[in-house]
Amino acid sequence: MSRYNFIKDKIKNGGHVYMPYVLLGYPDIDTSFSVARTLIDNGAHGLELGFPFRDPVADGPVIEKASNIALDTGFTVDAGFEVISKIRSLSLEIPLTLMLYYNMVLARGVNKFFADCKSSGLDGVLIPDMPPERADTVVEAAKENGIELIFIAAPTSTTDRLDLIAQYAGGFIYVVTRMGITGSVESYSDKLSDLFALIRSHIDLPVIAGFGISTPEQARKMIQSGADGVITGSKIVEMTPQGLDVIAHHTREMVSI
Amino acid sequence: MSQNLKNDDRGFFGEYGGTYSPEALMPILEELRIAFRAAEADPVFMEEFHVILRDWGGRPTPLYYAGNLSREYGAGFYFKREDLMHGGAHKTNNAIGQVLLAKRMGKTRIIAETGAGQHGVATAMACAKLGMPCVVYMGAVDVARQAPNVDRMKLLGAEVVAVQSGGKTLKDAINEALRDWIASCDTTHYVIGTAAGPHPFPTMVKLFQSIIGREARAQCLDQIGRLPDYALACVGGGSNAIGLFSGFVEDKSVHLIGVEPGGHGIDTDKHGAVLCKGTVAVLHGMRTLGLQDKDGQIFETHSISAGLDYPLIGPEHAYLRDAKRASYVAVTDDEAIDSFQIFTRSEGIIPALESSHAIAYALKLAQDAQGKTILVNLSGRGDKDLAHVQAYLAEKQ
Repeated sequence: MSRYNFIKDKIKNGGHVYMPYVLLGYPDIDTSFSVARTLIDNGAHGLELGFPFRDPVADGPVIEKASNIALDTGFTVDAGFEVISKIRSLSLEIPLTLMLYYNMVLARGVNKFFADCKSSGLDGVLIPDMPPERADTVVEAAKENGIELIFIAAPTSTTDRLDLIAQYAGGFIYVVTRMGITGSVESYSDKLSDLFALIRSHIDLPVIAGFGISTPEQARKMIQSGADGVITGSKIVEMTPQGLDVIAHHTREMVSI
Repeated sequence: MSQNLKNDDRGFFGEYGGTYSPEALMPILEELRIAFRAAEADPVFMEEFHVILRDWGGRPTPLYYAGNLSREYGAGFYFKREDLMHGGAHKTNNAIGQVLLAKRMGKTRIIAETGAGQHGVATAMACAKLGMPCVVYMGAVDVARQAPNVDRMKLLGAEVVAVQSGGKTLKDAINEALRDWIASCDTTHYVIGTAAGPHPFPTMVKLFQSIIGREARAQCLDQIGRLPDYALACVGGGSNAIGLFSGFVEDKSVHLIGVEPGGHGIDTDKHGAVLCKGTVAVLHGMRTLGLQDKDGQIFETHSISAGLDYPLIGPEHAYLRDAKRASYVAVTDDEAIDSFQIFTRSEGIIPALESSHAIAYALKLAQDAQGKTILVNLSGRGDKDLAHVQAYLAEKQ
């Protein structure tokens, strides 16, 4: 039984979901674990867990800088999977999605990587620089280990591309709500409702909005436009130096929208 | 699915190449692929490209017989004089081709990355000529070590952005340019400077640089009466090398040799010899070889030459290596500097430090290739490197 049913059920019952992103290893492994626990304790409906990468081209400067700090502190993929196991033990019901760049999957070996995903308790993997055209390189290993592949849809995605994404996508669909990279402050696309409706008509998965969302007001706007939930990308990373209380307060606000 | 997704133009060279990019870029790369294929098949476009290269760029560049070196080393050295091209390096071929294509696509803004600054200068020149605004991303370390090229770009009207992230060199400049492009791709074309990146870039850059090999082959037949025994080029991302090699790849008698930056030595951690030491990697939109740790974190490389300081390689070179059609070697910083001085004094030509790597290996090769004909792509002029070389020599003394 997929843990993504936890968010699907919540949406079916008229609720919305909040799935924040945590950069594992930032500023060190133990702190990132405490951040994840704070998010879960305060009601997050799922977590996106990021492995730091030196060249995060799909992320903004906040995550890039934090990634370099995490790696300089000594983050390794082994330590990353260990802390995911610990996070899993905090909640057996919410979905945990790993976000990492393709080269890290390749370096570990596709089969070993997905086996590690399974044994650490992950539910899905989002590889932002793996388009659906390249999904054939991992789809078998993912299936064998019961790991869903999560995909991104963008305002520029054509209907052909949405159909291609639908062939491989599981869990939920992560919708880039404006062009750009995580963490910028530009305005959202005007035609959000059209975008969500279009994606929904091609992909039968919860529609979760992300990229550039950091406040409850922005989250509410996404929900009003038809999204089933939101992901905050760089927000938790940005708040981490301010302490767990600040993160706890923010999380309670976001889950109650 | 549409025809375009179905067709087989996926840009693989064996297992290397392809397209590994964020979803936001995928439709734009597809638009670019279609536009590139149409332009390449359009005689009017290619004619305009060649006329600009001739009248504005100074092509064809000469093939030069280096008599002094040949007598001293006992081999026949010929140099393809890309240093004489407008802008001082082969980079102009690609920049003018891509900016022309961007105009044809209706784009209104150009961005580029640069390492040594040669590609940035070439793109800024092309944008000035074709009336396009231009932003060049350059690592802050490179901004410091290539100051004259920064001044040239600004004079040509480009905005130069000093990138402060990571090692502050070429890799970081590419990351930043990609970020800009993800946010701006509806109006902006990203002129990648080397034969790397997601499809169609490696193939497109090769097409625009293949004029080097085509001219060189014809000039060899005309001036020497036969093909060379060896064709050498330095390899950073690999654009001048793929341009030269493309002219000879079907001529099995011609040994193709790419020369990588060996830095302090390829058994140290300070080099950029990706084809000698790299393993399979995916970054910057392509599957290729890269220098990386066991977790897949890409290293910062080292080279005396900013233009070769890149931890990945154009995918076709990885393929040519595996297919054993080309071989790849490395020379150290010291060897490159020695050759820079030898060549300058022997032939009265100051080569770029990048090209000096190819010269260094050519001089070594001559010991085992007495009486053979060795063609070297002199990919750029070395005026930009003078301050850097002098500082290096002062430190050595």
